[in-house]
Amino acid sequence: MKKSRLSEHARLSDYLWVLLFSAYSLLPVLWVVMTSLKTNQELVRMGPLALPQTLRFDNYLEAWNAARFSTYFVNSILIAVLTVGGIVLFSVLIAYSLCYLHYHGKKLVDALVIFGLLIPFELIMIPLFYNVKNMGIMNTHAAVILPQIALWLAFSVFLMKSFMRELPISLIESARIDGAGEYRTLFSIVTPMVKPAVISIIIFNLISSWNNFMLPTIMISSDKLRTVPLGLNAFRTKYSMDVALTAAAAVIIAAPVIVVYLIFQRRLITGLVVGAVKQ
Amino acid sequence: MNQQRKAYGLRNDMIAYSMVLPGMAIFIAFVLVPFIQTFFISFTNWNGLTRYEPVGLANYVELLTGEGSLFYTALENNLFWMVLGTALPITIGIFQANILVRHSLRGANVWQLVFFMPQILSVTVTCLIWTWMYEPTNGPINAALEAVGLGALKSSWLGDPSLVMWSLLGIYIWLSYGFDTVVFCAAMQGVDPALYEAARMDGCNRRKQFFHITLPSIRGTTLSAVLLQIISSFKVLDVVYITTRGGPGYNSYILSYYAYSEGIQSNRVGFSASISITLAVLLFTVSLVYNHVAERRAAQ
Repeated sequence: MKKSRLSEHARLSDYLWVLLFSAYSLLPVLWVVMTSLKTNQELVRMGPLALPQTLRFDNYLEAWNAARFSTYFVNSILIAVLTVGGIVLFSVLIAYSLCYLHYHGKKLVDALVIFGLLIPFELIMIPLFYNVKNMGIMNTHAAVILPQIALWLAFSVFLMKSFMRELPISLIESARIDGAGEYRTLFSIVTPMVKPAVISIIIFNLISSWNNFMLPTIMISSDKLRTVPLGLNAFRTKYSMDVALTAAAAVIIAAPVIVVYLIFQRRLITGLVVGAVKQ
Repeated sequence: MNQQRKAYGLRNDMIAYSMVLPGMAIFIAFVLVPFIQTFFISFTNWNGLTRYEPVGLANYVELLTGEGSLFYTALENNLFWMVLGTALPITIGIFQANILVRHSLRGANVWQLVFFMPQILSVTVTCLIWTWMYEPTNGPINAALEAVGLGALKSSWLGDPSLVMWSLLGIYIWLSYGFDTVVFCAAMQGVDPALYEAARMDGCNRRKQFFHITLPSIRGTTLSAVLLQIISSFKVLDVVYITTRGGPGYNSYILSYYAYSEGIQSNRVGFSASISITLAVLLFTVSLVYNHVAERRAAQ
């Protein structure tokens, strides 16, 4: 197909526009990476905009050792894996029941899912905080994992449902005619066919859990249970004068997420977009 | 109905419940119940520890008319955030998608990747980055202004009462416009190219194509993107918590931070719950009104 050509002038202003916004998106991040390779004396003497004179990778080692980052990483991974596992399992089950089964109370389940999409954490955090306290699970990982599953399940059910609905009904029918039970139909026939949705849900919730700040902040108080973002926040308070060291800590924490993002970007973005557009 | 049941298989309550209950139980215990509790607590004087008494509407009266109530400050900031935090990312997103998709700029995927990147960073990292950016004495923004001869514009970006909300908005837009860009790119890629072909035959220029083909074709997406953005403009407790803690003074207080500081820091749980409920009413009203208006306009 022939496209009408843009004038040179319009082409130039397009490039200027996207370059401007790329600078807005990238420069703050690049500045932190740059700062993480400097010494503090350099930062003060040469100003924040100067390029580093030598690349001081020692900052990373020093930052890693200055706080219990390996513990924070293990905590974050544990919480993320259990949250994601729960959400994937429950969302597959609930979405299947909503798409292919008939039962009393199905409308209620549907309504609760919609309700769950609308409720932000901010609205329920106060009673949640006191309930968790009364349950005796305050300052444990369960106090983060269970609310995360509860808060994010609805979105994943919603996403899963929109994928499952598109499957040919004849597929499920023939499995039933062959005598497969519902669980068997779900796990050996339906689930493999909604793999893209499962992957999107995994990545999306993995990153949300890894990055979550407010919920773990109110639930976790002891240092050895902290997740990575909480560790970083404590770190920056403790070493507020040491900008280069804190910058190195920030880079250590952001790097795994950026790597995951670069590997799975299409899946992640597709998942988010489907969620947004179909809603 | 009969037809449908046949198509969807037999009714089997027990199997269905075994699938639904584990997930729903967690949802009910950790989301639905706290939501209902918020409602009831808001009519009491509970302090989180001892027994409580019902106080009727006293919390709401204090919130709306009380001497020291920060409600209107917080509400104003929430509305500022909602209006500009929705309008700007959406407008930028549409504009950018138009450049990337309709003007078929080279490397559209790479640009999208760049714009989207801030979205995936932890809010702790984001806020840390931006507190440095805005740092008045040794921050890169002020240093850059100085370097290009605009030293007069140097400011205490997060410390100046008249600037703080704008600075926070700058962080929020940084976080969110990439998402809208990607969403609108997907929407524009789905528009039938034949429409543009026909428009060109009729001599429509790009500007006209944008207003008469692109915008009407992506309307569905725009409507849901705006709603999503409105909802997420209320979810900024963590940004305020990490960067300003509502300060300087109370200049960047928002309702959720107000609820947090009263409910968890000051143990005024009943009063705090009335803030949460007011926030919920505000959020639902805005969403419903928006949905209603959007649907009426769609029906026309």
